[in-house]
Amino acid sequence: MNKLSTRQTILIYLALGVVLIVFLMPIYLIASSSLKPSPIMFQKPPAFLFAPTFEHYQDLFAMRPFGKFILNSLIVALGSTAFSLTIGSLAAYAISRIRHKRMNDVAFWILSMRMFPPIAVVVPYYIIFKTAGLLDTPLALIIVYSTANIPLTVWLMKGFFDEVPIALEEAAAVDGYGLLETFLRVTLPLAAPGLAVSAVFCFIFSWNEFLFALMLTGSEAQTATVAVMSFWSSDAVQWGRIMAGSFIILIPGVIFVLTCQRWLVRGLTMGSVK
Amino acid sequence: MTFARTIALSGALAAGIAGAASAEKQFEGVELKMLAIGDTSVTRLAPIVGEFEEMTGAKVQIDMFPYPGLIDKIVIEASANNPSYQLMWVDSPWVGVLGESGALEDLTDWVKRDAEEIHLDDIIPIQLQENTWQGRLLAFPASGMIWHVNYRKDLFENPDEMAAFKEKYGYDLAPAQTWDQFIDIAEFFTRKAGDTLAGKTLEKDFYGNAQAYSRVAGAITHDFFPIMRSFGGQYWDDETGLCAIDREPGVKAAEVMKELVAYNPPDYLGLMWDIRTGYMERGEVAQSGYWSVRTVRLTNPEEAVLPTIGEAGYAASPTGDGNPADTMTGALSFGINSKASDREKEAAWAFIKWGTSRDMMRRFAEAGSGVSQFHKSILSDPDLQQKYPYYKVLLETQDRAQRRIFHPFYADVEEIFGVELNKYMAGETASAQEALTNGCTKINTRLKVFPLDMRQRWIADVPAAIFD
Repeated sequence: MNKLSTRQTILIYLALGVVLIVFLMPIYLIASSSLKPSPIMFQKPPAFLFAPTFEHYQDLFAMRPFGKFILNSLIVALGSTAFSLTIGSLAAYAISRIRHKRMNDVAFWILSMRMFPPIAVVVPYYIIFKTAGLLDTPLALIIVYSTANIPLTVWLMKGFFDEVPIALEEAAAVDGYGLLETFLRVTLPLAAPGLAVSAVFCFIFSWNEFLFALMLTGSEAQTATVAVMSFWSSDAVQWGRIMAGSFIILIPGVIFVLTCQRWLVRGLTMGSVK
Repeated sequence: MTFARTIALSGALAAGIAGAASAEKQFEGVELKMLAIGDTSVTRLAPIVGEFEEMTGAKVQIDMFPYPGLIDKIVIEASANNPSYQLMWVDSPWVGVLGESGALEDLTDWVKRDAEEIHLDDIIPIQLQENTWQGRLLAFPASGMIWHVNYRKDLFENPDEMAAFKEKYGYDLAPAQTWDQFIDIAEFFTRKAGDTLAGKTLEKDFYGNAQAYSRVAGAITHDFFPIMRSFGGQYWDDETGLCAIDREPGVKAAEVMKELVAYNPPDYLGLMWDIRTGYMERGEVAQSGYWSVRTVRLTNPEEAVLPTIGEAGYAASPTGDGNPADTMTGALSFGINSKASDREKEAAWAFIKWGTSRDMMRRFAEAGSGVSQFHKSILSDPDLQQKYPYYKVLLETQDRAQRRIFHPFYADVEEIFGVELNKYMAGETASAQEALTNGCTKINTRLKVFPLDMRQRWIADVPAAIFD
C-alpha cells in the first residue's frame, strides 16, 4: 500500500475531525447544558463560556431518589442481559446444530417475537404482572426485556455457532467431553465475540427502554430513563435536570461498551469475509 | 405577610392538626399512592404528606412520572381491580378521555356534602367546571391557570419609549387591548443589536414578542386557541359535533400569529413551553402571552434574569375588538381512581381536601411557592397581590374565561393543528384558511365514524351538578 501524502493525511484528519464533532456534539450539548444555570439555558447565541453550576445534579438527587433509579436500571439491564445470553445462546446452539427441516421455521418464529408493537402488549403485560404481584418490580422488566432480547441473541449467536467447525466438537467428544461440556469449553469460547455483541445490544436496549418502564413500574422499580423524563411536567420542562440525568445515564452504557470493546470489533466483523 | 400573621396561621394549622390527631385517626392503616407528575402542584405537597398521615393515619406516597404518557398510565391503572394507585394527577383537558373510560370517581356528591369545609363558594367556578365531564366533577383543582400577557413594564413606562411609540402609532404605549395593538407593540420593540432601547445600546437583537410556534406536543395550539377564543371562536359546531376551528375567528387568530412571526426570535418554529418563556425570563422580549403557571418566575432572580435588569408587568390577553372577551383557563387537579376501595376513596378525598384547601394554598403562597391559585380570597388578598402582582390579573380575567378543549379527541386536535398551524407559520401552507381546513378535515374524518348523538354529547359542556 502506498504511503499517504501529507495532503491526504491532512484531509483524512479533517474528515475524522468533522465526524468526531458530529458524534460528540450531542454529548457536549448534554454535558454543557447540565452545567448551565437555568436563566441562560436557551440563550441565543448559546453561552459557551459561563460559570458552571452543579445545581441540576444536586436537584436531580434531592428531588428524586435518583441513585435508587440508576440501581434499578442496572439490575434490570444486567439481569435481562445475563438471562437473555444464557437462554439465547443455548437456544441458538440447538438451532445451529439440530438438523431438522423445520428448524428455520422455529428460528423465524423466535424472531417474530420481536415484531409486535410494544404498545399492543402493554395492557396484557400490566394485567399479567398485576395478577402475579410482580408489578413495580425489577423482575417484571427483566422478563419483558428478555422477551425482546432472547430472539435477538438467538439470531446473533446462531450465526456465530454456525461458524464454529463441527470437527472441533467431534474432537472434543473423542476426548470424552459431554454435550454441555463441549458447549461450555469449546464452542462458547470460540463464539465469545458473538456473546459480546449480543450483550451490548441487550444491555443498551434494556438500559434505554422507556415505554414498558413507564407503564409497569412505580416508585420501587422506576428506572433512570423514566425518572429523568419525570422532569417533563405540565408547567415546565426542567432541561437542566434532564440533561444532568441524561449525562449520568450515558456513563454506564459507555463503560459497558468499552468493557466489551475487545470482543466487539471482532464480533461485528466476524463472518463478513469467508 | 407579617410575622404575627405567620405565627397565627401556623398556630391555627397546628391546632387543627392536633385537634384532628387527638380524635380517632380516621384512616389508620390506609395506604394511598398517587400517580403524579413533578409539577409545582405536586412537588410543593410531596415533602409535607407526613402531616396528613399524622392527622388522619393514612399514609400517602406520591410517585412522579413524566407528563408524556401519564394519561395512558392512568387509563391502564384504572383498568385493573385492586389498583396500585388510588390518587391521580389530572390535567383538565384529560377529563374527556378519562370520563369516557370511567377511570375517575365522580366527586360531585362529596363536594356538595363538604361544600362548607372546602369553601366551595370561594373557588372560582370555571376552575371546577374545568374538571367536569357530562355534569360530573371528576377531579378537584390543585392549581388554576389562566392565559395572560407578560410584558416589560420597565420599557412600557420608559418616557423615551412612550414618546416614540405615541409619535409612531398615535396612541399611548400600554398593554395591548386588541391584537392590532399587540402587533404594533411587537413591531415597535423589535430592534437590532446596536439600536437603542430605553436609552441603552443593545448588545444583541431584542424582540417584540415571543410566542410558541412549535408543533411538538401541539405547543402552537396553546397560543392559537386563546387568540381564537378572544375572537369568539369555538372548537366545535353545536349541531354536528364536528370541527369548527376553520371558521372566521380561527382564520383571524392564525393570521395574527403569522403577522407576529416577524417580531419573534428567529427560532420561533421551535419555541415551546419554557424555551419560549425563557425569552421573557431573560428579558429579551417586550411581551409574551402564556400560561400563568410560569409567571411567578418573572419575579424570582434565581429563576429569571428579568428581575435583575427590569420589571415584569402583567395584563389580560388582548381581544379582537378591545372589549372583554373569552380567554382560556386550565386546571391541574387531583382525582380518585374509580377502582379504589370505598375506604381508600374516602381517604383519598380527605387527602384532596387537605392538599387543596384554602389554608394550604395560602400557606404555599406565603411560603413563596409560585402556583396559580383558584380561591377568590387568596387572589384578592392585598398582601399577596403585592407579592404576586399577577394575582390581580388572574382574578379579573377568570370571569370570562372559557374551558380548554376537553373533548376525548383533544390530543388529536392538538397534534393535527400543531402540524397544520406550524406549516402555515413556516410558509409551507399558502393561507390560514387552507391550514385550518386541512386540520378540520383530518379531525372530522376521525369523528364522522361516531354517531351524531355521541359527537354532540362529547362537546356538551354540562355544568357540574355542584352548582345546583
